[in-house]
Amino acid sequence: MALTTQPPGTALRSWLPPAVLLLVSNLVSLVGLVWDVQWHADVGPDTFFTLPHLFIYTAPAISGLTSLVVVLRRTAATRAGAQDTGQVGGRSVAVLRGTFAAPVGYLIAGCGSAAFLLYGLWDLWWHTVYGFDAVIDSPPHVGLILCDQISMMGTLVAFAAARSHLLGKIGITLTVGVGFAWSCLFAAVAPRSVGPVGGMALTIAGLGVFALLLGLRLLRWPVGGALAPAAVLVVIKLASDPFGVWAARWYAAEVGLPLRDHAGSQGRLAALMPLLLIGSAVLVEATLLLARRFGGSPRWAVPLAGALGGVLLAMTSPPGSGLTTGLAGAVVGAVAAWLGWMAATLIDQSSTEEITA
Amino acid sequence: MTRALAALALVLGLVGLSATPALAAEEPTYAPVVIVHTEQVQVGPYQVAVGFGDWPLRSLRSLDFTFDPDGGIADKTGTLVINQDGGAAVRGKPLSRHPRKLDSWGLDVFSLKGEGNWTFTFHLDGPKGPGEGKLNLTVLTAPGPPIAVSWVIGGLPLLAVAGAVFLVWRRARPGRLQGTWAW
Repeated sequence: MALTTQPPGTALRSWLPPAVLLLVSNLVSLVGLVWDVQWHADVGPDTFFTLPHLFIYTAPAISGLTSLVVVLRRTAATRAGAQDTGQVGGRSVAVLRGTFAAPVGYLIAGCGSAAFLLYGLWDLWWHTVYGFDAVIDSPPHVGLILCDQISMMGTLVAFAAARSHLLGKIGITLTVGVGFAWSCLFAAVAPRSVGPVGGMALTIAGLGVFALLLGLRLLRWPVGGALAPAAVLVVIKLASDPFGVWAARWYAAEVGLPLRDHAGSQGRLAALMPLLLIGSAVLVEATLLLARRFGGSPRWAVPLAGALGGVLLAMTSPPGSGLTTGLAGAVVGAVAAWLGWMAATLIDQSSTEEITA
Repeated sequence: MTRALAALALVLGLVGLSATPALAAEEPTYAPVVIVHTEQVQVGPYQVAVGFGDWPLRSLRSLDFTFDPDGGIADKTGTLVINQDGGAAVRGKPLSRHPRKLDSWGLDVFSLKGEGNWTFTFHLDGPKGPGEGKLNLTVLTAPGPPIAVSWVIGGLPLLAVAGAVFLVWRRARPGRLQGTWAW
């Protein structure tokens, strides 16, 4: 693969529709996930052809086909010798010895989506051997979850390429919020505890701090770069809680299945989303603001901010976590913050210098 | 703009085509519970018939269990604790009806992770008073390929991401960039 630089000056109408389609696919995926997790908890019986699965598998179809169209259009434009200003998604990557010119964001989203569908086929086979969905932490499910996260990273890169525009920043904010909400599923896959340390709580702490620093660094707002994605997460949590419960019950009634005797009234995936991501965002932003005001360096301020945010998330995420988990949360938070900052730097590098409407 | 709309229409059309199999499915069909083997357990004063949808039991298989005390479940309550080799309980909840066999208690799409000896411990309460009983079960190896191979395949996306990040990192050297540690 070779990198070629895309010149600045791409029109809004060229970069916005495909980027929005990627975001829509992420939202469709999240709706399907919230619904499916609730279905398995409250109702149970499963087949491949359920409505939640339709949402889950439509999402990669949207992002995969969008990516395909963008890559083909970019490739055709490159072969025609046209100056490459129309498509966005970051720098073009020459794929298969230059056969295709793929904007890096759409390359990531497309590969994630294609792999998701392959893992979907494997999951279908898996169910013929093991039966349907007894556990969420099966190898095909982990593959599916990872592929979905890769697709969402592609969405983020696509919007980051347009971050000089307000709509690009809004896209980053929404993508980070949606992506973190989706990734809370990792907490259900993680071990509940490792010795005295809560595994679920640490997972939420690490992913949450990573998302906050990723958003903060990409948005580069004086204030609110971490708070805005956290606010999106809170809105998603408050909406998906009743939605998941309602959707599972409505669909069960439609197909004539009873609810389990102990079906709860709480959204299962929403329960994993930390309301105190807002508090963690406040800690992160306040720490970095103070460090900046007093001439401190991000080298130590970023891990410190992450440690504080990590402690808060680790000690308040279910199941109830003690001091040991809080201390581990500080370490995980510091590392996650550093990773989030670095990931934003790498995304910066993969993006164009400037995109104007 | 016309080209953008055409591309959008193309994408939506292909999405519709790709979703055709799912849309064509008339309605999900859910298999009834078929009990292929039964064991009897004495739980204090109650005889409980434990039904199995699969036999012999295999690790990681999605299983159906039914629990039928003599005299039915209407006037009784109970809990079921499941553990392996005397280890910590993997399940310790009140007994509830099987979603597809509502006249029985049961577990549906439930798997036992790991081969070896498992114990189902029942606590029942009803007209004849409380009682406790245990059922010891042997779970065989998981079907399909070795689970380690499956986990490697499931983790491939993570390896791919790690490899890609390593390559990009080596190329960009973000730690040495002037702007990385600037506000």
